[in-house]
Amino acid sequence: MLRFFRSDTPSQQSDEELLARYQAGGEARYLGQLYERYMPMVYGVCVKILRDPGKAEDAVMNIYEELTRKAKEHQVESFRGWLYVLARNHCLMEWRKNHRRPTDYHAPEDMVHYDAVEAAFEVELPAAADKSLEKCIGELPQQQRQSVVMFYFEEKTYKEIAELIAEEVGKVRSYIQNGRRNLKICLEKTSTKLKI
Amino acid sequence: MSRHTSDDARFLELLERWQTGAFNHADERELHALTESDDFRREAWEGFSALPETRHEAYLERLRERLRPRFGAKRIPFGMWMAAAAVLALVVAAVFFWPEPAEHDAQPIAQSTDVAPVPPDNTPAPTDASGSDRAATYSKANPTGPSSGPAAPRPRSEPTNGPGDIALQDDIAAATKDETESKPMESAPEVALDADAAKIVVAEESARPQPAAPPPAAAKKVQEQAAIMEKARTTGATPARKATDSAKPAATKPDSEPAGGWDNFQLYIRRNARLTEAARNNNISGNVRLQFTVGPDGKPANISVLQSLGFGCDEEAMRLVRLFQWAPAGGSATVEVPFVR
Repeated sequence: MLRFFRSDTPSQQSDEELLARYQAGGEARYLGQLYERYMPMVYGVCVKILRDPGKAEDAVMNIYEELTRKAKEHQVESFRGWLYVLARNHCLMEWRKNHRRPTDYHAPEDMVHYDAVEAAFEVELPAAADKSLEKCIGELPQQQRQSVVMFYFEEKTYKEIAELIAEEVGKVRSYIQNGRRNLKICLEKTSTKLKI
Repeated sequence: MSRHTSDDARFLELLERWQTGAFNHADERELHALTESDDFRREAWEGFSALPETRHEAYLERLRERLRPRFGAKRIPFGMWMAAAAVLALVVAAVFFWPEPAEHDAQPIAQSTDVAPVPPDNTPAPTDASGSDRAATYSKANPTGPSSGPAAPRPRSEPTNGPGDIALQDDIAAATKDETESKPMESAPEVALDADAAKIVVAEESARPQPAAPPPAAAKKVQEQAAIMEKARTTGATPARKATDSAKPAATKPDSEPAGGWDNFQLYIRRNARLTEAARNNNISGNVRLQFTVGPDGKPANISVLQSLGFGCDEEAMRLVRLFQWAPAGGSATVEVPFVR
């Protein structure tokens, strides 16, 4: 009885349990449950490497196909780590397929990583008292300035900002990200010492 | 393993809020902390944040829909899915293949006028006014072309975008060209080295004997310099400033070069300089000119924008320039990054 309940609520089970069930019976739903757990993350990795949500979508589908084949035969210790490597390699191969010319010397590993470091750059904005910071915020384009100030100093959410400036949430995300990058550039220029 | 499970759940929750917009500064901090502690999460986050304006949730939702039938093969009758898929495929096929013959003659023209993509490597970039001219004459030679296709559903290649648009682009191209050509006259220390289409301007910071050197002589000088630098590299000596000193005294700061040479840099710029979405939407194209000094680590420092394009292109140009190693340290350089459709 207990077993019956458990098998019907596979989301409670650990990765390895689900995988073992899939390997034993070959039922797609176990592997499916497992894959769905990590699907957004797999998608994110694919977007990072392929730089295109549509291509990433296809890659996520293909990775699942690859998974159904490989999961049966491979003895996996950590499903999560294994899936990460599988997804990453799949997307890198896909990328290389489309960039085979030898002059394309910027492999995604280098290019994307640098981008992402900047994109994910975390600014711990110091107290607003700093003069150069004030100046730099003043120099931002209006929409970026508005968004950055509301997000970092007024602790508003993207949605609230979007409503206030009548823009889409995506635009707000973009303004804040670009504003942050510009701030960093500006601060580097004005005061070399300031650590952000 | 359980350590990951709870962190992943929290990460996905925050990511979902990032997408819907119910996301504030504290959430951002927590999200960043979670991405730093694990590579899988970090790379996933880098993917999402690289395209902040994309509606990722729509893609994820569609993925769930596409994946679900494969997961639940037991519960949902397989035949029904097959039937649905067959019907869908038929409809899609019908929509796509019916107007096909009519589309054939409309498409290439539309491409050459409006959505003309990034040029292949061996053709000059369209900043060149003659390139746009060619496009204009082409579209004029086929004035009825774009409207002859009755069913061309592509929004980009609307028939309304005809020669008028081209004229505008021509103006822009001509304007930017004028500006670049007149620059060396007013500011003497800059020398335009017209190498192919992506113009790279090497700034000469040193004091020149006569402030208004005529461009042809100056260009020649740069060529000489390049030759000397090349020679120096092959013989293993440091850039042979001494040799040029006789001709041009008081060279205080050397010019820096991109690692791998200017050709390499140019190729890289041409391949990677893409208009930002904002610029594209506002019909902007042109050049961004940057000046910078090279820090001791070979990275550009003190980047300043000499000629701005706005709409995020300045930042993109800086980003591209910063990716390169520059040598020698302490030198300076001016580069022009073309953003074209």
